[in-house]
Order: sequence, then structure tokens, then C-alpha cells
Amino acid sequence: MRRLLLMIVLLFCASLVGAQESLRGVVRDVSGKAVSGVSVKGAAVEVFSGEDGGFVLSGKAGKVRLSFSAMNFDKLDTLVSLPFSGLLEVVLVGMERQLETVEVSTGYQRLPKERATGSFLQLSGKVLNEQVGTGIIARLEGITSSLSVDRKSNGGEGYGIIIRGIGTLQGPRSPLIVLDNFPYEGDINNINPNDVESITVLRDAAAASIWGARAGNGVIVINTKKARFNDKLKVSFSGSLKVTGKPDQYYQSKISVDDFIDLENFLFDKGYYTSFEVGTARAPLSEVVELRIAARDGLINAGDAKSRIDVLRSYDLRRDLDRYVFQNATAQQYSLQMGAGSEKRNWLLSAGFDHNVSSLAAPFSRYNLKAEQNFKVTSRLTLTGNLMLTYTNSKNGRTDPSQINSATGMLPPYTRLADENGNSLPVITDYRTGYISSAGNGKFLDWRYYPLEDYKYTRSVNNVNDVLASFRASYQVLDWLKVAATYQFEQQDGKIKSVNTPQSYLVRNLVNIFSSIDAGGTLKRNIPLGSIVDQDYSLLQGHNMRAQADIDKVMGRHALSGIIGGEIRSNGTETNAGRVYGLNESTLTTSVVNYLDPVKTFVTGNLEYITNRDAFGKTLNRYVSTFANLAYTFDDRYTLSLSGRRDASNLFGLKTNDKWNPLFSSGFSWDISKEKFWRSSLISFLKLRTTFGASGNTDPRSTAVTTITYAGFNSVFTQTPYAFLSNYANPELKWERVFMFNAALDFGFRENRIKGSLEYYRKKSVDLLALTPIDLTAGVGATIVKNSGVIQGDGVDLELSSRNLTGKFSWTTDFFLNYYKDKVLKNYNSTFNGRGKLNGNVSYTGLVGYPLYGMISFKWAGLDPATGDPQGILNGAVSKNYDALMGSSLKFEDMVYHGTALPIFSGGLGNSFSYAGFTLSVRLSFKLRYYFRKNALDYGSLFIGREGNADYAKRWQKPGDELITSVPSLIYPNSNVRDEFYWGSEVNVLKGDHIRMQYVNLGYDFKPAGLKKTGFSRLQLFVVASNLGIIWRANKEGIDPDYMGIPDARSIAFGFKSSL
Amino acid sequence: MKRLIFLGMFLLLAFASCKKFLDAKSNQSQAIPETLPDLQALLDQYQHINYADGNAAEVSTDDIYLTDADLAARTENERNMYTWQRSNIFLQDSNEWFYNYRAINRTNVVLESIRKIDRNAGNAFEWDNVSGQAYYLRAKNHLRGLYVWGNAYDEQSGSELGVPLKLSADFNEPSTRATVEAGYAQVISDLKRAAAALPIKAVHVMRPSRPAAFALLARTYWSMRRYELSLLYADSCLLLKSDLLDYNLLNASAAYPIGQFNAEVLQDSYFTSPVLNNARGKINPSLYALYDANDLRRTIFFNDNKNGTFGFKGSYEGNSNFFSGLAVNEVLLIRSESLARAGKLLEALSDLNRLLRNRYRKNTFIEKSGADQKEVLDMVLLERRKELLLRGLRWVDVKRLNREGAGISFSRSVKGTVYSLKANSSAFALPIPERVIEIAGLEQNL
Repeated sequence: MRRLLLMIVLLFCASLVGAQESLRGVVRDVSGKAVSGVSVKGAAVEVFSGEDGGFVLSGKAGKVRLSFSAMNFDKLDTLVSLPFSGLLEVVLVGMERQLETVEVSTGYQRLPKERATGSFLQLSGKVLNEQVGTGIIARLEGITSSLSVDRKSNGGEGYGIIIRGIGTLQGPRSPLIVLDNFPYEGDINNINPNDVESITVLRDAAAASIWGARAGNGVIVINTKKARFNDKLKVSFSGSLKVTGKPDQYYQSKISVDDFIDLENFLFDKGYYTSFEVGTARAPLSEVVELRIAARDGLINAGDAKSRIDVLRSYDLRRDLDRYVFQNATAQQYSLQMGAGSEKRNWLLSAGFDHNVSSLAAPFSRYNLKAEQNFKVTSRLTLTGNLMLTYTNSKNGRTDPSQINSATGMLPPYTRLADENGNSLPVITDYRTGYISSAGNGKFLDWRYYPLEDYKYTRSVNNVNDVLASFRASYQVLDWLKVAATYQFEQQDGKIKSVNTPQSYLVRNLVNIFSSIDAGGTLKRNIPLGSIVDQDYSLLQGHNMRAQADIDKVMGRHALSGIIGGEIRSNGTETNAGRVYGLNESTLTTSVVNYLDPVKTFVTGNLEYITNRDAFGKTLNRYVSTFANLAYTFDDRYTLSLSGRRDASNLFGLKTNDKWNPLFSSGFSWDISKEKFWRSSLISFLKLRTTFGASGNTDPRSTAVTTITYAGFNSVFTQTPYAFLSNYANPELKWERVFMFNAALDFGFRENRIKGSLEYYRKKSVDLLALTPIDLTAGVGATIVKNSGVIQGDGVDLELSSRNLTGKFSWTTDFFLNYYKDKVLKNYNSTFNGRGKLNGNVSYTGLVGYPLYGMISFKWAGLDPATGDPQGILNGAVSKNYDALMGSSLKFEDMVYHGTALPIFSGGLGNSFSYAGFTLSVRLSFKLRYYFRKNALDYGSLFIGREGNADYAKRWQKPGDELITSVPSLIYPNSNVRDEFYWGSEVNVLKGDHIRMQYVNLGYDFKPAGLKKTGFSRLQLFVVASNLGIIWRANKEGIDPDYMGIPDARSIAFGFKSSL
Repeated sequence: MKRLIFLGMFLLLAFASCKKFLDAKSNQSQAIPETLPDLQALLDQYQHINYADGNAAEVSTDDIYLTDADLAARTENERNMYTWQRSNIFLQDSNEWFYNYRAINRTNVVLESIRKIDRNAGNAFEWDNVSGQAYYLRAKNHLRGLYVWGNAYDEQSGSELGVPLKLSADFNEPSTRATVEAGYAQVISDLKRAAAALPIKAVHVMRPSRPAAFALLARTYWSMRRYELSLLYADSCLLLKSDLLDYNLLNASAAYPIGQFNAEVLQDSYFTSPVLNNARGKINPSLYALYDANDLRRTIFFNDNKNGTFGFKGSYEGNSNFFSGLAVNEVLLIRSESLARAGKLLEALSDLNRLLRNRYRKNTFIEKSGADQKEVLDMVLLERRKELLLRGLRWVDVKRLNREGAGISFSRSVKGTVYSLKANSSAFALPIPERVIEIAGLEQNL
């Protein structure tokens, strides 16, 4: 019912009878509930409404202007004649943007925030809509307290959302995402952001424990817009266009073309390329190396070779990437919504359309349709039907040549993609240039690869169809008891079809490799010439059923509310993949290839099998849960809550007895400001909340029995199925548990002009599953999942919002600051393996008493003045014995501990100004007190992979250089332990602290009066600039510590929102 | 109240059948290995079982050399191994120590699981076959480890450290190095069980068979210098399978003249090596000089790099991978040598001549003869050297011959520095990967 407050209704009743000098009145909201704390200003006096909404004001006789204002309500001015007899009844209307914070949703129930003991964070549609984009989740970063996005340890992929610090090492880290009532199993980017009304983040155990074993990482509940009863027809339409710049090719400072060519010359003189030259793999050699070979073999003269190499010095692959490969990305989004409601029925219909073109010119379209209907069959029975349809279609764009990785590394930095007239040029990828031009004596297909053209010959289409339908019947059994049954069905079909036409390099290369020419010169193709078509289908089906009873009973000063219920869920996926060779697209005929017998391949002469891609897969996850949640409130001031949940699943390898995993939580809250003794006009609202509870984390990969996984194919030799060991029996394995204690203070100052909350929490994860190094002799790998330890984290979340200025020019600020620091309390495997602690960008150090992800490095003793070798410190003396410097005898005390690799402080600051219809919102975010390891020059990967950064130019070259550089000298042959030591040394660890400009949004709302003739009731135009980059950083090298590669480019979006 | 009873009944009904609901399989391609086909599928996982042999034993001999420039372009581990360094010769994690024990772990999973399967008249053949394969593969991998990290078998083997013997799939079980003596005893015991259980012919040579088990027993006893027993088992093998390829029928000009899974192969496995690969690996000239003009192996085994150097193309894999399985020619040579050492010279020569007739150009081969034991033995050893190169066998061969007093040392020159490995040096037991020493606390070879 509170939702009705969202409506903007103005009612004003007053009766003018009699004549007295004082005025009595009462303030209510539109639902008739008394509103306390309302400021009532007369000519010279100000009073506040009491708990029953009543106020008494006295004044001189005559007309007086009264103004009513309160947090969350629109200001109301009215003229009253004094004396005034009877009761002045004032109805205040809730402010649209503020009201949503009143109620929070857990996915199981919506409950008033003031009666919640848990830690809920509500993001209103208004804040979410200050950004533009296809996905809703991407908008959360930087505006959501307690939430951070980790782009590094997740391999730079996906949304590595972390809520309140990491509680697991091995298990899934992402929070559970709930759409309205049920976890959303499909692709979260299917959801139309315009359908989202608000998002609730469940942060502590009491809030999340209702989700049980999946809530260990926190829960994000997405609430979609709902139809309303007693609502007149409303139509709204919005649209936006977002343009994102090209990725900055020059962001990563790479080795210069000159330096690279000099290095290739150096390596050539050392004979580095000789074995590639004679190898049967015909490994591709770069243009410089080929020219040197030609000159050495007397095919061209040395001067020629040199001048041709010098021409290459003027090219730059990055310039071509920028010019020919990347473009500005665009994203268009349109959305239409309409809805209305009578007393018995209501409906809502929305449609969305998105069309994006990526920076590689890959198009993506999404069509959303959503319909909802509620029907009150009787006064007790309500039926709800909901349908959400999503269709997406994406196609391949250009290929990014900077990702091509051949047997001799990435493309050299002087590679040209097009000539001076813009005509596409071939690049050297799989084989030597001379080899592919002569192989097959002209009988072969052109073997060159044109990166700028090739994508045109491959048509890859990815279609996803998602249907989400739910049906709900709720029945008011007694006035305090409601039962409801909900069923939701979801089906997501995915189909990827890639047609590689005969012109594509993939087809030409495969056909050539599997061709042979016999003694008579006859060409035999074991893969027929024609399109190679790969098809992948996936089908996801989910059934959710929930039966739930809601209790809501008030008896005098006692109020009891709660839910009890159970649910069963079943999610199945089926996949199949296949490949067709030799499709003739005009006649739709295909050819068969021989998968059974190996074919002598042309290049190496090795026997190889033609790839068979046929594969089938099927998974089925089932869950049964029971849950209960009860809250008892006394006198509106004290609330005690309890909740518990048990989950069972068919997770593989669990014994049935272990499948049930009970979890609980309890909480208490005390509204101090409602106490009789509380008489503070400064602190108008003060509430204390505290909770404790447990949630769990299950890693489906960790089981207590040995399991095997069948390869999708038979062994080509024995023609029998073969299988991998996928899990090693570990009877000692236990589920991870996360315990959380939360204590919070909600407060409001000066009639909630400033309000906020301060929360302290302690999070303890026990029996943490972690990859633990294991003796290779066990035969199960270098690491194994074990219950490895206990970590404890302490955090403080501060959220503040203030209305600094109200009136014509208004200014609001919101700010959040998160502090989080964890440490390892116990580590069951305490072997200290010096170099092993440095793996990757962010890795689990497991040192007791130190953070989970600590940044440690090798002590640095500068470069050797004589040779430019990196030096460390071993037993107090300068050393170059890298094996010893990094080996097993290395103690933690011998290393440098910098601090944590995850920020201790992070936060955001948003300011919003509005004046005469204009609104300007600016949002900053920051991360402080952490360290990262920068990419260091690695000669090994420079030689083998042609990957090196510009530090190459700063390398030690002559005695004395050690005073100005820490980049080691170039040596040949290379030593990888030397590279590794340098990479892991303290000189490459930098401070990660930075402040980022998240976005700026400027909007203009046309005045309703001005819109009268147009038929619009509301029209807003806006422009948003986002990914504005870092405005301050601690490192001096211009590195964005949040990104592994090139940071997201800046974007600007224009759009409008309108309502009829 | 009626309404409440109704609600309660509804909930009861909903959860009554939940046990059955939860028994559904969560991933169709996953299984708990509990049937014979499941266990066979684990052993047919050829990437880990057949195609993961190590190359250390071959890189550490001197059949192949690299130019200084080619060597410098290799990784540091490879350079260290090539020059017989005592540390950092293996990758930290992906090394042959791990690959051996990974295969052993699979066999232990099979052997532990098969005990829970009832052996009956209906499944006896499969049951025996699977358990025989597992015993064979466990023995094969322990033996490979003993060859690389253990000293040659001799009177001291009861007190010298070999490799850990893993007989359980439990990864929590700590590892300790067993003596060389215990290692060989375990290998023999496993192989005898395998020979008893395996079928005479396997579905494919990727799987072991009884003749392959006999052949591996013959190789084991041969490397222990127990020649009376190596004779016995080589003979047992050859009774079941003794086909030889006639090299006259091969096309010497082909890139790889000898076919994969050819008639001689008893059980297939291979190793790869970037160092030995014929892109850079050159045949030691003194080895090449051993082949005379009519010896077909001269052109079938070696490709002429046209610059005075030769590469190897004679792998029984039919490609650039190095065959390290078992083949009839090796067994024939084991029998010939064992016969010669037993003084049965005519029979020894008969085996040798049978092999060489198939290796020499038609009608050019002059049958070997001799009456002096040493002379015949040397003839057999020479042909062994010429026939079985680059199969990972030379390392153990030299180790055991040095125990016979052969005094074979290795030496290599890199950029003017001479590196050498003296006969009977303890450095013939390679250093164990450092990571294993660090985590398991094993004793390192000195």
C-alpha cells in the first residue's frame, strides 16, 4: 500500500468554521498515515508535528502563509485565515525520488526499512538512471556503497562484483542476483534497464541469510517496475544515444619500432632465428628477419636489406589499429512504458529496443517486452501474471590484429594492415612468407591472411531468446495471514552459428593443411573446399516454485511479522555443438570428412586428425529449501528478528546427508529517537541495529568423492570414450561458512537534512576453500582445493546524504566511504614458498596476520654497475643468485611487504545541483591505500612473444646507467629467473590510490506549463559523460590500476525521457 | 483454521518427494568411477597416459647436439639440462616428475575402484584387462622415474634412494623416496600381475597387452642386469608377437618414413622435446658414422640437412614426436644380448641377423658370425646403439653398461666450455624438480 505514495497527488482539505487565535491541525500522507516531524512555518513561528501528526500554531488574526516541509515530502504552501476553527487537515505528498528508500525488498518480502534489522542498501531508479548503457549491473560501480568491481583477478572478464570484501577464494565470488523474486539464471544483460525501479543490496547476514547457501557473497535484488491499482493511464517514452571513443592504442607504452627492429637485428646476429628457419613447422618470421636472411643468403644485397628495414621503421601497428580497426562505439536505447489500474485490475506493458555497434564494428540488438497484470478475483484472492521476453542478436565485427598470437609471438610493432592507399595488406601469421607463396606449386588456395578483410568472410551470429514467465496467486487467509504460491519458468535458447566461407582464412588454412600433392602432381583435398559451419546450441530451463505464508499481526504495542515457506528449484542446461565441412551455400550440399583416420598434414608431415566438433552436454541442478523469517517489534521501537534456512541440492558427489546446509541469523534494532526521553532537535532520527548470522558458499567443483568427466569425443585410437579425472576424493572437504556481525547506527540531523548510516561489520570466513600447493608426487597437479584457513575482515561503511540547499537553487550531496581490511587468522598449509606468493596480479598470500591479498616483493639492491643485472639481498649481502633469491630458503622476513592489493578505503561522492529545470550531477569515486604490480619488461616474452614495454628504452646499457634506471640490461641468451626476479622485485610495486571521475549528468526538465500544448506531462533532455578517467593518481606512470589492459574509453550520451 | 490445515498439507506434499528430486545427476558427462567402462575410459585418456613421457633421459645423453646459437635460443631449464647442471633443469610444475605421477594416480584410482566391482563370469575378461592395464601403467611410470632419478641398479640398490612409490590415490599421503631396490621390486610385482591379467592382443597398441607386459619385464630385468630373467621375458614376448618391419619396403625419401602403430609396436607412447626436435637437434657425427652405406637406417633414420649435419626422422611415431613405447626390435635385441651374455652365441646371432636382414638393402647383408662371446656381445651392443636411438633408452643403457665396466662418459662443448658427465658419476641420477623438494621435503640427489 505504501507504494501508492509514489503517486503525485495533492489533496488539501480545510474547513473554516468559527474564529480563534490558535490553529490546530494534523499532517498526513496520502495513505492517511500521520506524518511526524513536519516543519510548519507561520509568519514568525515554526513548530513541528508530533507523533500523531498533530500540531498547534498560534498567530495573529488575519491571513497567514503556512509552509509545510519534511524530509521525503514535497513542500506545501498554503494561505490560512486566522482565527481558524476545527482541524486543519494537511496531506503531504511524497517526493518521488526519496520515497523508494522507505521499503526494501529481499526477494522474499518487501519490508519497511524502519522495521528491518539487517543492512540493506537501496539504489533508486533516479540514481541508476543518471547513467546510460545496455546493462544495469554495469551502472552499480562507483555509486554503490560496499560494492567494488574487480577487473584483475577475474582475468579482466565479466563483472567481478565484490560486496563487502572477498569471503571466498575458490568458490564463485559474484553476488547472487535476484530479479524480483527469484535468482536470475539467464544472462543478466538481458534485462532492460528501463524496467528497473530500484536495486537493493543485501549486505549483512540478516539481510542475506534468507538466501542461504548462495548468499555468502551478498545479494543484489533488482526490483522491476510494477503495475498499480487505482492509477490512470500513464505512458512514458525515453531514448538515448551513447558514443564511446576508440580504445586508446597508445595507453600501454610498448617497445618502440626502432628499438624492436634493433632487437631483432641483435637476435638475428646471435642466431636466435636459425632453428625457426629450418624447422618443419615453417614458423613465421618477421619482415626484418626475412630481409636479413635474404641478405645473408645473397638474394638481395645488404644495403638493400638495410634500406628496406629502415622503411619499416616508419610504420606503427598502433596507428593502423587506430585508423583501420577501431571505431567509436555507439549504443542506442529506446524504451516505451504504459500502465493503468482500476480497483480490481491493473496492467503494465513495456518495450525496449537497444542497438549497439562495438568499437570493432560488431552489431548487437536487443528487444525487450514485458507485461504484467494483477487481478483481484475476490477481496482475498489476487492473481498476478508476468511475462518477460528478450531477444538478442549479435554479429561478429572486425578481428583485432593486436590479439593475433603466432608461433613466433604477436605481430611485430611495424606490421602494416593497409598500404598508403588504404588497401588491405596481408600479415605474417602462421607460416613463413616464402613458404606459403610456393607451397603446393600454385595448386593451393591463397594462404595469406588479411586481417582487415577476413572478418567479412566469416558470418558469426549469436541469437539468444529468453522467456521468463511467472504466475502468482496470493490469498489473504486471515487479516494477519496471507499465503501465496509463485511459479516461475525461464527458458533461454542460445544459438551461435559461424559460417566461415571458402574465402575466409580459417577455411583456406585448414584446406591447405589437409591437402596433399602426390608424385604425379595431383592435388588431393582431405577437407573439401566449401564453407565450414560451426553451430552451438544451448538451452537453459529453470523452474521455480515457492509456497510462502506471510504473517503480519499487530496487537497493541506488539507487532509480529514474518514469512515461512519452502521452494524447489530446478535448472537444466543442454548444449550441443557441431561442425559441417564443405558446405556449398548455393546448393546447401555438404561433404563428409574422415574423422577416423589421421591425415598426413602438408606443412609438418605429421599425422593429424580432422577436428570433430560434435559435442553434447547436459547439466541439471536442483535445490530444495525451507526458510523462515520472523520479526517482533515492541512499541515501534524495539525489533528482534530471527531467520533460518536450510538448503539441499543435488550437487555432484555430495552424500545425501551432507546436502542439507542449515544457516541462520538474528538481529535487533532500537529506534532511539522514538524513546520518550529523546528530545533532540539536532538529531531527529537515531536508530541502532545489530545482527549476527551465517551464510554459506558452495563450490560445485569441490566434492568429497572422486569424479571423472567424459570427453565429448571418443578416443580416435581405440574408438572408445575416454575420461578425465575432474575431482579428487577429499573426504576432509567441508563447506565454507561466512559469519557476519553487523552493528549500525542510522541517523538523521535537523529534520533529516543530513541523514545517513554508519555500519561496522566483522566478517569471518571459516574453512575457506583455497587452491593450496601440493606435492607433485601426489599426481593431482600443482595445487588442490582444500579447506585452507580462516580469514577475518573488519569493515566500516559510512553513507551520508544531505540536502545542502533547498528552494529554487537546490544542492544535494551523497557520499559513501567504505573501509575494509582483512587478515588471515589461520592457514592450514603454512609452507612459505617465496616466488609462489607473487603469482599473477592479485594472489592469495595466505600469511597469517596479513591480508588475504597482500602485496609482497623481493628486496631490490639495484642493478649491478658492471653488467646491469638485477640484484637482490641474500643473507644480508647483495646477490645475483636468483634461484636462491626466490627459492625455498627464502623467508618472509627477507621480502618486502607493501600492504594489501585490494583497497582499504574506497568510496564515492555525488553532488547534484538543480536550478530552473536544470539538474547537474557529478560523481567521483576513489580507492585508497593499496598496491599493484606494474607490467615489467620481460626479455623472455620479448624474445619469444614479441611483447615488451617501452621500458626497453630505459634499460641499463653502460656503467653509470644503474644510477638512473632500474631496468636490467639486455643479455643473450636470456635468463628467465633473472626476468622473474626483476618482475617480482619491489621496484615494480606501485601505489594504487586514485580518484576517478565516474560521470557527469546534465539534464533539463521542461516546465509542465510550457508542455501543455505538446501533450507531454513531462519532458527531460539529458547528456551524460562517463568513463571520464582518473583525475588523481598516486603512481607517476599514468597507469590506471583498475585495468589490466586498455581502460574503457570515455563516452558521451544524449537522450530524453518523456511522459504523456 | 481449516485454511491453515490446508496450507500445512500442501507444504507436506510439496516436500515429500524431495529425496528423489535431489537424486538427479547434476552433470550428465560426470560420473563417479564405479563401472568397468568408467575405469577403462580413464586409462584411455591418451594425452595423460600415452603422450606424456618425459624427455630428460634423452636430452641428458649425447646422441644429439645443438649449435651454440640454437642452444642459446632455448629456455634456461633446457640449457641447464643439456649441460648436466644440478639445479633448475625442470619447469616448476609441468615437468615429467608430475606427468609420471599423474599417470600413476590414475592407475591407483582404477585399482582402488575396481576392488569395489564384483568380478564374475560375465565381466572377468574386462575386469582383468582393466586391472592389468592399470598395473602395467603404474609399473611403466615408476620405472621411468627410476631410470631418470635413480642410480643404476646394483648391489648398493638396497640402500640407495630411488623414487617415491605411490600405491594409493590418496593425495594426503606423504611422499618418501623408496630405495632403488624396492622400486624395482614394485615394478616387477606390478608387471607380473599385469602380464597375468592382460589379454594377448589389445584393442589397439595404445593399450598394453600381455606381450607388452612381458617386454617391459624384459626391459626391467635387462636394466637390472638380471639377464637370465630378461631372456625369459623377452622370449615370452616374442612367442606372442615377433613381427618385424622390412625397411626395404619403406620410402626413405618421405619426411617420416616409418609409420605410426606399425607392426613392430607393442605399446605406444611418446615424448616431445623442443631441444631434440630436428629443427635444431643434430645427430652426433660419431653416431651417424656407425651406419654403413647399405644400412637402410642411414637414410630412413636421418635427414640430410644439406650442410653436413643430419636430423632424426626415424621415429616410430611417423612424425616429429619421439617414440618411447615398446617395440619388437627392442625385445629382439634384449633377447640377443641376454643370449650372448649366457654364452648362447648362435642363438644370439640368429636374433641379430634376423633384425639386420630387415634393416639392410636387399641382398647386400652379410650374416654376422662369431665365436667369441665378447665379440658377439659387442656386435649386439653396437646394433642396439644403432637401432634404438632417440627412444629415451640410451640413458639407462649407459648407466647399466658403466656398471658392467664400459666406462662411457658424456661430454659437450658449449661456446668453448666443455661440460661432461663422468662414467658412474652420481650425477647420472638427475636432480629432482625443486618444487617437489620444497613441498614434499624429499632428499635431493647430489
